Amino acid sequence: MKLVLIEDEPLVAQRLERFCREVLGAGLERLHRASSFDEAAAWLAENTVDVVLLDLNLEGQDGMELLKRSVASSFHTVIVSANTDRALEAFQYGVLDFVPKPFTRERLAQALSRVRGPVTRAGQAARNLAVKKAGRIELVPVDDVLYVQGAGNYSELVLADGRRELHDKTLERLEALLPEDFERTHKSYLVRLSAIKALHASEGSHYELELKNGTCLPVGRTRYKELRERLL
Amino acid sequence: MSRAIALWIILIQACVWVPAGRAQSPDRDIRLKHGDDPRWAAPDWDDSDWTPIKYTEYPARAGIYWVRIRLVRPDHSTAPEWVDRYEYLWPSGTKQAPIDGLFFSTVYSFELFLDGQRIATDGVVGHDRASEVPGKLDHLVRLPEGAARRPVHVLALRMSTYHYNFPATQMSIGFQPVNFAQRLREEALQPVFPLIGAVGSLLMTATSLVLFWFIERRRALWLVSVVSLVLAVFYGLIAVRWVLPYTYDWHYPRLLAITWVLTCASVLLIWLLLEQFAVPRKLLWLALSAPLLVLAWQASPIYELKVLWICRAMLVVLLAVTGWACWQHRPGAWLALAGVAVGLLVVQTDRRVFLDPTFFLMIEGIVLLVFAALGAQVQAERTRAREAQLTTARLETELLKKNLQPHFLLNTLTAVAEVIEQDPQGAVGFIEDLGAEFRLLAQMSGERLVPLERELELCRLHLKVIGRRTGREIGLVTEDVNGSLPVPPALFLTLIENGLVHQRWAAGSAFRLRSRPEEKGVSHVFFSPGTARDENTRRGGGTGLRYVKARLEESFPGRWTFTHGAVAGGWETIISWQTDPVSGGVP
Repeated sequence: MKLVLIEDEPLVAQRLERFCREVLGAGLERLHRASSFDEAAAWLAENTVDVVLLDLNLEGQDGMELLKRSVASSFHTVIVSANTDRALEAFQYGVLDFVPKPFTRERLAQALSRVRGPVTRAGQAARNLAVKKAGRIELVPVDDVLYVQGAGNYSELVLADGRRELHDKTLERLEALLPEDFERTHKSYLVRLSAIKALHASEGSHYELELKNGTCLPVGRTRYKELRERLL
Repeated sequence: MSRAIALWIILIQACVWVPAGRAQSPDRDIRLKHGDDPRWAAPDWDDSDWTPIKYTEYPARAGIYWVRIRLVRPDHSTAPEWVDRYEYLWPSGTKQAPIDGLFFSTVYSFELFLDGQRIATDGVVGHDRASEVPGKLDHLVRLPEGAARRPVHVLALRMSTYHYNFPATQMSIGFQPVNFAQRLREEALQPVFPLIGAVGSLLMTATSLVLFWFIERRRALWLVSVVSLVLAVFYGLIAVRWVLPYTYDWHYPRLLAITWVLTCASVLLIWLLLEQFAVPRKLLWLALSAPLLVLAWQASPIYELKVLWICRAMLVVLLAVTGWACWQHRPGAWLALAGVAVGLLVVQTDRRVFLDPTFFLMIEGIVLLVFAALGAQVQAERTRAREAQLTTARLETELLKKNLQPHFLLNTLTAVAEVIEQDPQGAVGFIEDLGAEFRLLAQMSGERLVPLERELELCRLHLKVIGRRTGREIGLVTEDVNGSLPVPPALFLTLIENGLVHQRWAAGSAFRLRSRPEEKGVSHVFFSPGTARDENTRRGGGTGLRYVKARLEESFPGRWTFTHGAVAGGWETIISWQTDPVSGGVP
């Protein structure tokens, strides 16, 4: 796992690093420490990571802006902060976990397990997804999303009004953040169940789902049965 | 307030018309002769060799002499009798009544003959000061029946003036042919305004003293009570002429006292407005007013006119003071300026003898306006103080929250947890520093003001904790500070926190506090090292600055200033406050 710590307090950063090394052991491929988001961003521009551990109260920086910038990126964001009153808000924007300070090794291990294990939903589902647009971050309400289509290292959010927005996260990482209403129907699709009108099976084990707006999307052979049970 | 000034203007305007002067005085032929002969009272006595004089040229302190005055009815060919024309209370028209009396204001002892008949005497006419007995000042004499119908009269006065105490060697005779009943009514009304003024001023003295003693110890309030007391004396001296009629030898001392008392009242009134509008360099203002008042004393030998000139000089200075106050946007200054301007206008336009209702209302109006403005100011300040008191509890909580806030406390605890595991000995020191800071903070949280040295101790403990937490040392350097000076708790601690959060500071740098005494107060210059991350955010300051300003308002209501901005190498905050004007120290 490749990991970045963004924490301006040296002792806290030292503790986070020590716990990460102890929890991840050999699974930790790389760990980088930064004391500001800008410093981390410069490093992230040239390196890929799986997760960023972010303090919301970095010296004089707007915690909300940091949060939006972080969740709009390809990596998962785990907040490590003393401001527990902002946890709900953080989850709404799509963080994987919120670790309150002071933290234990066990609590940090739990957060890291969500990153490295099979897809598990975040503590609370995101209500917005942050997307980067022309140098700024825009929030897309999850309620507007009909389905998500994977596109390699990116994903495309298809909205109810037909617009499409590109998101830096992979389909797997978005799946961990979106509510239970979203189902992985295909290796390249994540679809809102309430938007599905019908399931169609055709010759040659080809399966399709039809959305209420008339759009048809393929359904993975291995996922068809589970999907049908959930729809019934 | 605006209603009060409007009412006052209307009253003054009304008084410009209240008992106005009489119409035409009779033609007078006045002649004087030194000596004493009872035959000189006869109406047909040949006085052609007597010295013709004007009514202002009577010799003072010059033995017994006689004066003969020939009165000729101006319209005797057409009018059937002498008529007294007068205006009564309102200019709705001139009324008239037969003349059947004479009114004298005398500064001499006399025997009065009308057409050879002795009709009045007052005091005892004497050859020297010892033998003369002074008579009363004012006289209303009823004329014999039928006198009003005769077209020509001869008045003869046998008189001596040894108790004329004025410095001048000449004096004047004031007399008016009047309607006896009408003049009696007017004389009865004369003391009403001065008495109202005296009683009102005494009430205002008592009221402002009570307010000063029990409610608000401010110098302006104390001055209102002193000014009112002096005005009460002034009105009393005016009223005494009618309330306690005195002999003519007391007239000069009384006028002298009136002039001096008005001079004192003028100085006090100027001082009052200087205090009320917090005008700097008050002594200089008063010193500049002095030549004007001296000039006013020299402006006329007649004391009624001296008083008028003193009043003009006072109003000119008050106009300058209130004009300055308006320019400086002092609360209530426009009302006071309007009041003074109206007063000056009235003094300049009213042509009647002074010391009348116009004057009383003008002076009382100005004092009342100042009193009302003062009351409004006190009320506004008390409201602010009440609001500040209401926020005191919140501020105490805020103060505790400052160091118990999740960000500070939980980050510190996380850092402590790490130190405990890695360096148990260091952790003990860390916890001790933290404990000391919290202990001091808890002691200070319930106080409105703490000595500066305790505040600085708190700041240094906080910086020590920050140093342990961040691994970066940052200091606090003080210069010319007075450790015993009372300051609101966590005032500078908050500035330090803002500096730490909003500025990029380097290890080894230092905050700096420099104090400088100022006139009636103190000024603190606080420097935070490092460049601001965002100047607008830094200027806004957030809850920290709101806390600082609320604390300043609570402790020094309306008497503090706060400015801050970027300077070379950091951020400078200047906080000044004035000590309480009465207590001179702790508010």
